This record gives sequence, structure tokens and C-alpha cells, in this order.
Amino acid sequence: MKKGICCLLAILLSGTLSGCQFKDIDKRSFVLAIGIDRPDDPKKRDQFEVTLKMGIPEGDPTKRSQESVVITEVAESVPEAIRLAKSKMDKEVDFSHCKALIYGESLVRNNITPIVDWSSRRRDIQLIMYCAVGMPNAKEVVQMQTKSERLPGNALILGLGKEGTESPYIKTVYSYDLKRRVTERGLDPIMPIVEAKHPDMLVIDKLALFNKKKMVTVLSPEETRIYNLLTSHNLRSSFRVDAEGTSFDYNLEASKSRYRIQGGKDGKAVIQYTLSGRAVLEENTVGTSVTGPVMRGYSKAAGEKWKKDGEQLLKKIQATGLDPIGWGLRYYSRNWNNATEQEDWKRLYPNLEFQVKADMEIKYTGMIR
Amino acid sequence: MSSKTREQEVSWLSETMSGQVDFEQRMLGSSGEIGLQYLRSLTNSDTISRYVIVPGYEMEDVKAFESYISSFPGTIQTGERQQILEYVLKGFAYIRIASRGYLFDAVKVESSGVGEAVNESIVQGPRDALSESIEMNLNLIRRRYQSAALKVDMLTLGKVSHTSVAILYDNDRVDQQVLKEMKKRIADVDIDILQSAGELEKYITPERFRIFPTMVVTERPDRVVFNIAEGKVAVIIDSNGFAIIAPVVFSDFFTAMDDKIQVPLVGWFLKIIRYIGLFLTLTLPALYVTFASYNPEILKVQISLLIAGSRAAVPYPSFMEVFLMLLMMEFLTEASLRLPKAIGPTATTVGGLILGQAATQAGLVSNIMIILVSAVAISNFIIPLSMMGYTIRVIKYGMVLFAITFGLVGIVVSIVGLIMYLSGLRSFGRPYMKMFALDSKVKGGQ
Repeated sequence: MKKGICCLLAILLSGTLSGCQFKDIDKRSFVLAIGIDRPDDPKKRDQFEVTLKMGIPEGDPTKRSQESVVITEVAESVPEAIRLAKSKMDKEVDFSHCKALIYGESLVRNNITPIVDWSSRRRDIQLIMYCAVGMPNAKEVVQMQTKSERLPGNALILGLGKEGTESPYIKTVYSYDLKRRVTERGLDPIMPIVEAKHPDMLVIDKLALFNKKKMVTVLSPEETRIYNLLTSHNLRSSFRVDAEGTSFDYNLEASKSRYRIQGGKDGKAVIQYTLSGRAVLEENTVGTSVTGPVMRGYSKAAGEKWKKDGEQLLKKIQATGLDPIGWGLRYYSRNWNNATEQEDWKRLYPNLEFQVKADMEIKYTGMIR
Repeated sequence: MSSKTREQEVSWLSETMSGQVDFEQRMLGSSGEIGLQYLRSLTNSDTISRYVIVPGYEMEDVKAFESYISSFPGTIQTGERQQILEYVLKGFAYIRIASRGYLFDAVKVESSGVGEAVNESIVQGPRDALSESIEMNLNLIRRRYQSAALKVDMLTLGKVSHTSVAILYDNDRVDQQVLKEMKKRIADVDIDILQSAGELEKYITPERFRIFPTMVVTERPDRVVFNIAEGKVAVIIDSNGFAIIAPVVFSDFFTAMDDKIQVPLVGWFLKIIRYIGLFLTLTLPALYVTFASYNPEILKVQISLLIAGSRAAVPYPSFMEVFLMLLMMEFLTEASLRLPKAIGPTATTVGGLILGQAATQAGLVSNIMIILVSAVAISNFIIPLSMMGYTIRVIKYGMVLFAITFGLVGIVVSIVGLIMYLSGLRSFGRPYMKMFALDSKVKGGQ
């Protein structure tokens, strides 16, 4: 009996310890996307303009529940702005479903570190949140209500992730990854760029490269695609190649990319990329029949194009002095001279040479009917 | 024995039975040296008249009649008053021939006969259920288990009811320790009236706070036979169509008898489905409370907004909603169980359709809640043995309480606690959660 009372008491008392509080779901308003800018007002240049997009739940699930509330607040810090926003809402602001954080262009040209830190430190913001740069500013991107979305902010979330579209021009960057890239040596942050230039569509086809603090350069859509080819497996894309006096399109079915860093002992290092792919012919502009030798010719041409584009992109990245792919990290991990490896790499980097070996095979002619 | 004591004996029984309208007392034979006493309601009058009264007059010699009566199987010669009374109350006829007393078996059994299993119905396989008569039950079991090793120990329980109880086991396979324990526990039972197997089950389990049943109560003779063959002990009692089987493990409650009949793949599938049903019925209400009040981040945003939307009109916190609906569901189940078959469907229609529909439209509970409650109810009915089903029905409220106070952590902790409790539980000294363990040598416990 005594034991039972003790148990009951322990349970009741530990009720006061429970971390998260009891709050019903209909008393919370879910923030689905955050945008953070620097205010336009020149007097407040070092403050933050925080835009929160919140979904309004609709009672009838058969209806299109597109309604959303957008609140913009300017304050000295992001938490301060959120406190201000909270006093505007009738329900508790909940970040647990926030899946996108948009850094405004004005912010990324200045400094992203405080925001990266804030977003990874808060308990209720999940680390699988997508991060992106918003142009012309984050507010417009967050406010955008595209026609195709049923839930507020869903277009942004589907676009940035791989759940919806699988565009080869989009690089998905999660919050945990961004945080790591900001702090890790030998690996620099990247973020896709979301543009609100179309009246009711978001355009995501560029990639921004950062040094640890701010945006340094922007890769064009074409370069972004090659970047994706170099850094991911099985890219879903088609490429256009000019060869043998004609031009043709092929669709990639499988692709693979590997690299290794050779040398380094004599002050010179070579980064060798090996790309391989299997593809289907998608369009042949000249009506000639596609035979085996023709296909092999096409394959060779496609491989050469990859080699050319790849080396060009790698050289461009090298010229910025950034390391978005993580060569430095790879170099540190494969070399045991712990004391000097970072200096070694710093010396090696400007003189890096790139070799891209593309092993491309256009295997199928596509459907013939 | 002088004629005086004979007279005393006769008068003793008739005195005890005086006032019983169905007590019959006759003198047979030309000189009336044969006395016949029995209770009319318990005996088969046809048997009495054909085998006792008619030969009693036809036979010239009393000696010949005496040897004729004693030649019947089941006839007992006795002079003990207590035994005579007991047997007469059972339906035996007391025949007194020349100072010697005989108890003649003329028991009339009114029972419902072999019916179809209702509580544990299956698709294929035998449909017989145990009947109300212990003899018939023994017949049903022996017919399925034709082995000399099948032993039946009979004893009587209940100071007033004198219910016969049979302990059945396969002598070659039985776990002797369990058998000894079972016999000891049954011998220790001290009650006036014993009417059902469930009652006996209650009396032979150790008095301790108990959540899970540690014995299977079944109405299927094939389940009894199957378990006896596995070395378990079965107990059947008279006037009740249920048997007790011990020791059991947790997974026994999730086995239906047609799992054996199905193709192995299907059998496994059905078993897995039952465990999923168990998990769902236990956790769904608790999970709803956590999702709606503590950790909405676990769900996808669409569902979160859907729940939030459907809860928008609900005035009370989520756990009130859950308790309200679960209680409603329990009322419905109980009502449709106890109602006569003719009104039963009305209760379900009124409850399920009108109440559910109206409750959401009035904004008292959310749409999601209605779906959830029906899922909980249906998955609860998947559990083949009703005793476990009842237990699970109660336990889910505990889970909801944990969810209210601790959120998701509470659910996890309560599941872990439940598994710990089950692992510590013993059924007749044998581990209850023996699912994957080979031959466990764990002893002690209850």
C-alpha cells in the first residue's frame, strides 16, 4: 500500500517536470515558412525584418485551405521580432512545422551566421528545414501564393525539397547541413536561390556559394546543373549536345560521380573526377537513322561536353577560393599530418588542377513506334 | 442389522427430505423388503421404472435382485449417511435391500447439448463448443485425444453446489510442477457456490493486483486438446461450457484455432495483423492526445492542420474529447452485448450513426476523433480471446493518462513499463512473455 502511494506520488510530481507544455493543436498557429531580411529603411540597416507565414486551419477538409497569415516585424534580433509577432497573434506561434527558412538577399550579402545559429539552436525548429536565398527579398518569396499549392507555403517546401519536383537545377540544402557548412573547416555553405520574379510562380534554378559569412558568387542554371551532376547520384536531367554536325538531346537514366585528390606531396595536387552515366536518346534533330556507330559517336560527344563543362565549373569555383564540395575536408581526412594539413591545403588550393573523365554511354535509342 | 435400525435409516432420510415436493419414497417387492428413495427432479424416471421397479416385482428372490442392482456400473454400496445424502442430491436413487444400502445411478442431465462455438468462432475447422455437461465435455475431448496418457482427475468443489471439476492432462507430457501447483490451488479453493470456469479461474489465481489474465478460458474443445498435447493442464467444470488452460504465455491469447488450418503465410499474416491491432488499440487514443496537445511536429503538416481545423469548434481539451468518445464507445459495446438480439442492432445504429454524426456536426468532437474511436474499437475486437480483449480495453485508459501528463515520452515509458510488467509476470511459475526464449528455466514468481 505504502509502495503504491509512493509510486502514485512520484508519477504526479514528475508531471510538473514535463518539458513540453500541454497546449491543444487548435490553440497553436503553425509557422510554415520564415523569411528574414534587412529592413529597407537606412536607419535600421543592422536590424532584422522577420516575415512569418502561418497556415490557417480550415474546418472542412474538402475545401481548399489556402488561407494564410503573413506577419512582418522589424526588431534588433530575430527572437525579439518573433516576440513582437506573438503579441499580434491570438494563438501560440509554433515553429514545429516550419519547413523553409528564406534568407533575404540583403542579408546574405551581409552576414548569415546569427540566423543560422538561431535556427539551429531553437528546440522547436526542426533541423530538416530547407534553407534558401530569397530574391529580390525574403518577404516577397514567403508571401508568394502560387496557384498550384493547396497548403500555404507548400510550393516553396515541395520546390526546395526532393519530395515534389526533381529538377536538376535545384540543390536541396537542409538546416543541419547549412549549420555544419558554416562551422566545418574545408567545407563552405551553399544555398539555392528562390526568385519571386514570376507573378504566381517561384523560380529556383540558381545556386549561391558562400564563404563562411556571406554570399560570394552565384552559379547560373547551367552551372547549377553541372554542380548537381558532380555532387549527386542519378541526376534526373536531359542534356543537349552538338555533335557530328547535328544536335541531339539525351535523357540521363543513371549517373555516378566520384573524385579523388592525387598528389599533394610536391606542392601540386590534381583533383580527378570520374563521371559515368547511362542515357536514352530523346531527340535527334536530323532525321538520320540511329545506328550503333552513331550512338557511340554521340556518347563520345556527350562525354566530351561533360568534361568541358565540368572543368570549366570547377575552375570557376576555384577562382572564388571557396570549397562548397568539401575537397579540403576530404584532403584532411586522407592525410595524417595533422599539424600541417590545413596549411598544406591552403597552399595547394590556388594551384589545384582538375581532370574530369566522363564515361558516358547513350545506350538506348528510345522508344521507336 | 435389526429391522428397527432399518426403520431408523429410512426415517432418517425421509426426515431430512421432508417438505421436498419431489422426494419419492416407495416400497417394492411383495413384502416390501426393498426400499426406494430418490429425488424426482434429478432422476430419470424412465430408468428407475424400467431397471428398478419392474425387475423388483418380476424377480422372485430378493438376493437375485440385489446382485442385479449391484451389477450396474456406477452403483455404489454404502451405509454412510453423508454419502447417501450427497448422492441422492446428485440424482442417484437410494435402494435399500435387506439392510444393505445401494446408490443407483439414475442421473438425469438437462444440458444444452453440443452447440456451436459463439465466442471464439472461426472460419474453418471444428465448430463444436464445450457443453454444459462435464460428461459430454469429457466425451468431446477424449474423442479428439485418443491416448491412454490422457488422465482425468475428478473432484468436487463448492460446499453448497458440489460442482464436479475435472483436471485433464497428458501424463507423459505434462509439466509435473504445474500440475502439482494446479491441484494444490484447486484443493485450496473454499467457496459455497461454483458456477463458471471464470469464477474458478479467479479463485485459483493468487490474490494480487493483476492486469493480464494468466489462464486461458476457452469454449473450444479443439483448443483444450491442442494445449493438453503441448503439456498444459486443462480444467473443466460441470454445468459450464468453458475450460481453463494453464500455464499460458502472452502469445496464446493471440492465436486463433484456424491459424493452424491456414497456409503458413496466411497464418503469419493473421498473427501479425492481430499484434498490429493490439498496438493500435492500445496507443491510438494516447497518440491522439499527444499529437493534438504536445508534439504536433511528428505528423505531416497537412494532418496537423487537418486536426487543428476539425478541432477548431471543439470547446474542451483533447483528452476530454478522447475520454468522452471512448466512454461512448464502451457504452455502445456493452449495450449491444447485453441487449436481446432483436434490439441489439438498434443500439448500434442509434449509437454509431446518429451519435457519431451528430457529435461532429454539433462540434463536440472532431471528425478525426470519430475515425480514431472506430479504429480503436475494431482493432480491439481482433483479439481472439475475449479475456485479453477486455484487459486491453482497460489498459488503453492508462496509456491516455500517461499521454496527458507526459506527452509522447509518457507513451514510450508506459509501453516500456508494460513490457517490463509482462516480462515479470508468471503463469503457474512459468514466464508469461516467453515468446522468443527457448526453454526458460526461470522459477519462482507467482
